[in-house]
Formats: sequence, structure tokens, C-alpha cells
Amino acid sequence: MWLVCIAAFALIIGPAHLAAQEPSTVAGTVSDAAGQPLAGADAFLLQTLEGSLTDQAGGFSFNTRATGPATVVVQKPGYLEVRLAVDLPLDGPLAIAMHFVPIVLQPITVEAGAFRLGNLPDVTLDDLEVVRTPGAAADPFRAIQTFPGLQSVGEGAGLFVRGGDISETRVLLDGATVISPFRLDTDRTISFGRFDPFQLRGIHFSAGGFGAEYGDALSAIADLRSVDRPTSSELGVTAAIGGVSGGLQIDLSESVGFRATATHSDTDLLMRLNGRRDEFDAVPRSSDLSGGGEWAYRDGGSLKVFALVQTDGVGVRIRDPSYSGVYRSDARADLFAVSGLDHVRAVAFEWGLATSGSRKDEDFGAFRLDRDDRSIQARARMEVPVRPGVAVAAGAEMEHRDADLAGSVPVASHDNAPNAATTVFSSRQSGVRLGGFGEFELQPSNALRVLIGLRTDRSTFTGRATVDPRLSATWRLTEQLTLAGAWGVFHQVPDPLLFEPTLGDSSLPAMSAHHWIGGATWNDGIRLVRVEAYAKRYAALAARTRTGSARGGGTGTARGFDVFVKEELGFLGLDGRIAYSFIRSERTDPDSGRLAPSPFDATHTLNLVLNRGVGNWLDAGVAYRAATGVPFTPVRDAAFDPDRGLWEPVYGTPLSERLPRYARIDLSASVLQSYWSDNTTVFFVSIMNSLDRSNVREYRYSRDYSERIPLETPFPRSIYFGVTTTLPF
Amino acid sequence: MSCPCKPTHVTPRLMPAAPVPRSPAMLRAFVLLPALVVLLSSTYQLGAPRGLAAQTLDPVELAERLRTGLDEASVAGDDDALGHTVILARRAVTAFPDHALLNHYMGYALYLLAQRTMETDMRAAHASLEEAESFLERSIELQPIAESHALLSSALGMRIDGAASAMSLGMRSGAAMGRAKALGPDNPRVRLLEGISAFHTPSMFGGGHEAALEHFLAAIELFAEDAPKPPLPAWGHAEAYAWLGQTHAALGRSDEARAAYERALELEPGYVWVREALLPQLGGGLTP
Repeated sequence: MWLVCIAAFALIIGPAHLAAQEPSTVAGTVSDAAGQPLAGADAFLLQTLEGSLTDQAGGFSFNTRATGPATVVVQKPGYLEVRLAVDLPLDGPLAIAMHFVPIVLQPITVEAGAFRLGNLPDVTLDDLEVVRTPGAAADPFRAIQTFPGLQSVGEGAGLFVRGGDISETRVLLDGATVISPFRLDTDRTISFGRFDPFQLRGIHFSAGGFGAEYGDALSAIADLRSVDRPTSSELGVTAAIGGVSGGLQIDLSESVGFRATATHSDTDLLMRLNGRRDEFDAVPRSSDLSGGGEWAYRDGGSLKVFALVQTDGVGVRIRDPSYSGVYRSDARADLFAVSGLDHVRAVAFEWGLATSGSRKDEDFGAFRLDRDDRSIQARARMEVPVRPGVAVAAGAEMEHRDADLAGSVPVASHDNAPNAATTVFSSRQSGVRLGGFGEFELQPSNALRVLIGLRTDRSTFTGRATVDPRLSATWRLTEQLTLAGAWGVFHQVPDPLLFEPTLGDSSLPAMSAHHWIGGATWNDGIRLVRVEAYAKRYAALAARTRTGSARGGGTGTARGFDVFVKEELGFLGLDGRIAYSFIRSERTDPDSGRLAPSPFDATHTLNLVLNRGVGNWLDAGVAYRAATGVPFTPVRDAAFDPDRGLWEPVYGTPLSERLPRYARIDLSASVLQSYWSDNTTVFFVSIMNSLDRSNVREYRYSRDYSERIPLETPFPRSIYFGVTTTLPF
Repeated sequence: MSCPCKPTHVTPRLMPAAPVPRSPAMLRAFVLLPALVVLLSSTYQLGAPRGLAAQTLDPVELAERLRTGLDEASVAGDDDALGHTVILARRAVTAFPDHALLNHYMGYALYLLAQRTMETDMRAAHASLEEAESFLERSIELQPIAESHALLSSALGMRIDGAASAMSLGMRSGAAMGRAKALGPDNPRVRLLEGISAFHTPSMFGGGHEAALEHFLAAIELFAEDAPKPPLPAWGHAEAYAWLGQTHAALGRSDEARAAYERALELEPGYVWVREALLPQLGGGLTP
């Protein structure tokens, strides 16, 4: 009897859903969240794979012999998959609503890979576009400068974003703050970025309105991500007129790989070839060693390490009214970052530990400054998809900063003579910043996405907490057209050395900015057009005066718009981009305390980049860059100081004049060859400032200040060439 | 695996570059299929795989069905059948996302789809290739076979369309082919794909017709001993002759080309690409 019961039970329960029965119909309709029918969706039974595609009315129908519990799956390109538990045979037709795959909402404007719709500024630049940007000298930061929202200020690699100072752009690598992202970063030299584009998987650059995840940044975020583990093993060697480089990458297994690069740059030959050797007592030189690795210890889980040590130095001959001599700078920077990513079901976890340091010794006459900075950081972040269309992210970070400063600065900024009166100082500033954020990502309809965030930071430097609400929205009007807007409050702790007791102000609060941004993007896959308008309002700005003392309480505004067009001109074989930025900005001049045009206000900035490939072996490009000259404070008179035997300048209205217009055309070409199996050899040549235009970067003065002498661009027409080759093993 | 189109890939052996992000590409490829899907929706009601209705699904049996379906569609040059099989493959990997061979065949199906659309819609083809790469990489993660590596290499190579993309994709493609050869030194399909790559590669980059000829002859020799156990990949024997014929034709050897095409038709009498495209190009039809 028991056996009969068990057999009967097994017959009823066991294979119920698989029992061969008369066919029943599975039918229904599929629509989007707005109720519009969706054609071409695939509806099928997960257990048997029987199914059909929806017709123009969104209807589907198919027969099955299966009975009992089953799962209907509906898939359609661009929509989230739907899984519906049903009991077969069905009582009636199904009504299924599908939601768009969420728009990627990240503050991304520059990234490896394809262009994506998303948050505000959203353009794409991969490592090859960096290399192919003429005049960028394979520097990712210089390539970013060709994008909208950045003002052309000088020839360095600094990122001046929408009226902001260079220090208002926070540079991150794998989530860790890089406290010294530029080489040769001095007032007297031209800076370069520290990172090689082939060390980077991508750069997320946001020119404003970024999410609550990012703190301690007033204007912009450059979020660099290091490359993943290599997929092959090879040795690479590069020799160019300015230096040599060797790289090794090893693919240890499917889950482990690492790479290392050593570079030594010495511009002696380059300067001689281009007739500039006499400008230097010691030509710019640098050495660096970097490396990294990744261990993908399981599906969805990985551990990454990146390390970098760099040194650089230069000796420039300077003629100032008070002193002619050699300005010397020697610097060292390091970065060590460990980061991890893992998933538990749909919940993503990210964490990171890092230390970043820099040391720079500068010397010119009476001016001597030795600065040593160190940042130790820890961070963690998690992201939880609550349900389709709703996600929550939260995280926390800690940053410990040490800054040592020692040296002497002239009491009078115009007097750099070695025997000038100086203020001598030596101090150490230490502090901790703790930050946390929460962010909701909502997609109430197929076309609208909203990001609501709140972050708070507390720094022991300021002794106060800040609260930053942030909001952004993206509205997809059509497949091609997207409108976007953002508003937010942003805070940044001033440079630790502005709190220094001798010349600084220990009562400075965090600097703040409000951003308002609105724009539209058209992207039909071939042509991308983006227009964006913005307004920024600054408060509590802190800066150094000419004499090195700190002044707080500054205010400012910035208003403008950017236009960006990126297009493939297939019939000409060209691809290119145009970026135009207009800005009106003003901020408190730290020397006079008056509101004046921002020293970074290049009213019009235009960048045009065109590239053309010829076959699979030649790539050529041209870049044109033009900008309004930035404001400067003129010297209107001078008074003789008989005690010192020097003329003392009398400054005019702050930032009331502008440098002449800036313009430059750069050319580049690369030729690809292969000389043996699996070899790649690239010959490259570039001509910077090919028309040899004399751009003025600043003015210096005669000894009595009666004559203004333009200090011309450090980039006269210059040729640079080299070769790189790979040796796979 | 027939190829009535003319792939534009070059030998995959160039410079390192950042890996291509997977998810946006997958999304794009997924988005680019609707036209095909809508067309099919008016033609087909996709039923259960033969013998699968009212039974527990067997992933091995599904893989075998995909293998034969793709081979038949490929030989027959049947776009509708190929689209049908792509949809079935997508359902299969939905049901068994961690099955290596199903991921392999999903990647292979998209690779074939890309070949069909390469000349008419380059963007759609590239999107299909990017999605194919993600499935092949997943298959390799789960259980690598030489064909997955070789197809990955070929898919990467097919996306090269200029010096810039050559630098970014070439090294990855070369590395994938290296792994394919390490895993299957005597695998005829690996040798065939290497030959196809060489056929489209300028001799300055190590390719050329003579190099391709060597690969195709070696592949044909290896096919003589090739007996993969179902549902492992078994395509390529007739195709090796088709490519051998093309190579002979390119070298001006019409008689050798014709003989190779005829051998391909002996192996696959319904081989549309050979019968309706390659042989007519030679002129004169079949040897009496």
C-alpha cells in the first residue's frame, strides 16, 4: 500500500511540470513601462526553451505540452530581462511590462571604449585617441585638454576646468587621490602628466555636477583606472629623441598578470635639435619606475595593485628685474594603491588602500622651498540594486595628510636677490578628512533617470563638517536626443600649507562651490553633438598672495557654455572632434582683495583634432588650438628703493589686461610595421607648433619696469620622433 | 563555417591596448539584432528543440543541436536559419549560463552572424563580434577549448579596420591565437582560422597568400585525422578546401582552385558559397 501511495505521489508531484499532456497555449502581450507594445521581444519557457517572438502589437503565442510550475522569460534588446513564475496551463494571457536597461549614470566624460549616454558631460577618449592627439605628447591630461569645459591656460598639462584653479580638479587613480599628478610642476617650467596612456584602462573625467561619491573637489574629477591584467606576455622598447623606455608584461595565467615599465627622459638632444639648449642650466629630465598587477581570484572578484616612483629635475636660466640666475627644481613622487572589487549576488563591493607622496625642492635666489607631502587613504563602497530601476550606493573614505614645509621666501615679492630680506619658516601640518556618501539612482520611467545624493566630510584642518546635496537627471527624449541637468554643492579643504602658522591662516573653512548645469546631447552613432551651459558660484576661496601669505574669504562666479562635436567623416576617411568653450568668470584677487576676472578665464577656447588612417599602416593627425589670452595684472609704474638699489613695481588694476591670443597647430604621424612573427614596430614623428607661432605665456620686465618683455612659448616649432617595438614571448 | 563575405581582418599581432569593455558592446550587439528578430517573428514560431518538449533539458543535447544547426545554416548560406539558431542559442545560455559549450556556440553563432553582415552593415557586424568575444571569453573561463581561443582571435582580428584599431586589437588577437595553438597544436580548425587570417593579412605583417596556402594544406591534412566527439566543434573540413581554392585562385592557379572547390562540394554537396559564388568566379562550372 505504501508503495502504491509513494508511486502515486511521485507521479503527481515529481514530473508534473514535465508531464506529456495535450498542448496548451502560452500567450500574452509585452509592452514597455509606458504601455506601448514591444515588437521583437523573445518570450520563452525556461524549462523547455519553447517560445515565440512578439509581433507588431506586442503579442506572442506558442504551444507547450509542459504543465505545472514554469518560468516565462522575456528578452528584448535594450530592456531588462523579465522572468515570470507561472503555473501551466495558463488561465489566460499574460501581460508583461519591460523596463529599459538602466542608462549608465556615471560622471563620465572621458573613458576607454564607446560613447555612452549618461550623466552630464559624456564624451569618450581611449588610450589610442590620447596617443593620436597631435601635440598631446601621449599625455592623457593634455589630450583631455582638447575637450570642452577646459580653458587653455599656459602650455602645461594642468586641467583648468570651467574657471577653476588647477588644484580644484581632483585626480584619482583606481580610486586613490594622487596628490602630485604632474611632473615638472613649477611656476617656471611646463608640466606633464605622470601617467603613460598605456598604463590606463580609461579616464572618467567630469567637468562638474559629479555624483556624491566624489568629495574634496571644487570643480572637476579625473578618475583614472589602471589597465587590467595583460592577456599576453611581451617586452616592449621605445627609443625617442627625448628618452628611452622599457616595459615588460607577463600573462602568468588566466587569472594573474602583471606589468612593469621603466623610463628615463633626458631632453638634452631634443633641446639642442630645436635650438633651446641655452635656456637651461640643466635640461628637464625625469626617471620613473611603475608597475601593476591583477589577480582575478574568482568570477566577479579581483585584486589590483599599482605602484609608481618618479623623479624629475630642471635648472632654468631666469632673468628677473632683481636677480638673474638659475631656478632649480628637484622632485620625487610615489604612489602605491591596492584596490579590490567583489560581488555577493547582485551587491558590488569596492575597497581601496593607498599612499601617495611627493617631495619638491625649489631654489631661486632668496627663494627656497622644500615641500614634502604624504597622503594615506582608505575607502570602501557598496552598490545594491534594490529592484529594476532603483539602486542604492553608499561609501566612506578616510584620508590622512601630512605636509612639511621649510624654506625662505622674499619679504618683498619683487626682490629675489640672494641677499634680500626673507621670511624663514619650517612647519608640519597634519590632518584627517573623513567622508561618507549615500546615493539613490532612480528610473521612474523608460526615459527618465534621476540621481540623488548626499555626502558629508569633516576635516581636522578646518574643524568643521560640510554637507553636500547633489542632484542630477537625464531625460532621453528620443533614441538620439538626451537632455541632462545637474545641481550640487561641492566642498574642498584648502591646501594644508595654507593653515601653516607663519604665513597661513589656521581658521580657514572648506572652500565651496555651487554648480548648475544643463545640456543636450545628440548621438546617432556617427555624429555626436553636445551643448552644455553652466553656472558656478564660489565662496570661502583661499589662495596665496604674491608674498606667500594665505588669504581666505574669496568669492567668485563662472558662467559659460561648451559645444562638442565628434564625427566620423567616412567619405574622407577622417575622424575628428571640435570643442569650443566660452566662459565669463571672476574671483577675488588674493593680493588686492577685490573681485576681478579669474586668472584662468580664457574667454574663448577652440580645439580641433582630425585624424586619418591610410590602410592598416599609417595614421596621421592635425590639431589646431586657439584661445583668448588669460588675464594678468599689469605693472603701471615703479619706485626706486635706494636702500636695496632696486625698483619696486606698482601694480595696476588686478587682472585688467590679457595676454595676446594663443594659437598653435600640431602635426603627427605614425607608421606601423611588423618585422618578425608577432612583432609590432611603430615609428612616430610629431611637429609641435608647426607654424612656429610665438605665443606669449607671460611678461617679464626690465630692471626699472619701464619695458615689458614678452616671455614666449616654450614650444617653438619642435620636432620629436622615435620608435617603439614589441618582443612577444 | 562558410564565408561568402570578405572579412577584412589582418594578422592579429600588434600593440597592447586597454581591454574593450564588455557590457556596452553586449548591449549594442543585442540592440542590433531586432531587425532580424522582427523579420523572423513573422516567419517562425520557435518551438522547443526537437525531442526536448516535455523533457528535462539536456545542455549537451542542446549544444549538439546548436552545433548541427549552425553547420547546416552555414553550409546552406541560410540567413533565416542562422537567425533562428542565434535565438535558440541565446535561450540556451539563458537556461545554462555556466555551460562552456553553450557559451562557445553562442559566440560562434554571433561570429557567423557578423560574417553575414560585415559587408552590408559594418556597425552591426562589429557589435555582433564584440558580443561574440564576450561569450567566447566566458566559455574559456569555464572550460577552454582551442576553437574558442581561435574564434576569439579571429573575431578580434575582424574588428581591425585601420592602423589605430590594429594597434589596439592586434596584440589581443595574437595572444588568443597563441593560446589556441598551445591548447590544440593539431586542431585543424585552429590552423584553418590562422590561414584565413593570413589570407587577409598583408605580407608586410607576416601574412599573404603563400603563407595562407601553407596553413590551409596543413589544416586539410589534420582534418583527415579529425574526429571530435559530439557535441564538440566539427566544422571546417569543406571550408578548408574552399579557402584553399580561393588561395590558389588568388595565386593564378585556376585548375588547382577548381579541384579544391570540387573537393569541398564532395564533402558538402549543398555548400552554397562554393557552388554559387566561388566556382562561378572561376568560370566554366564543375569539371565534367
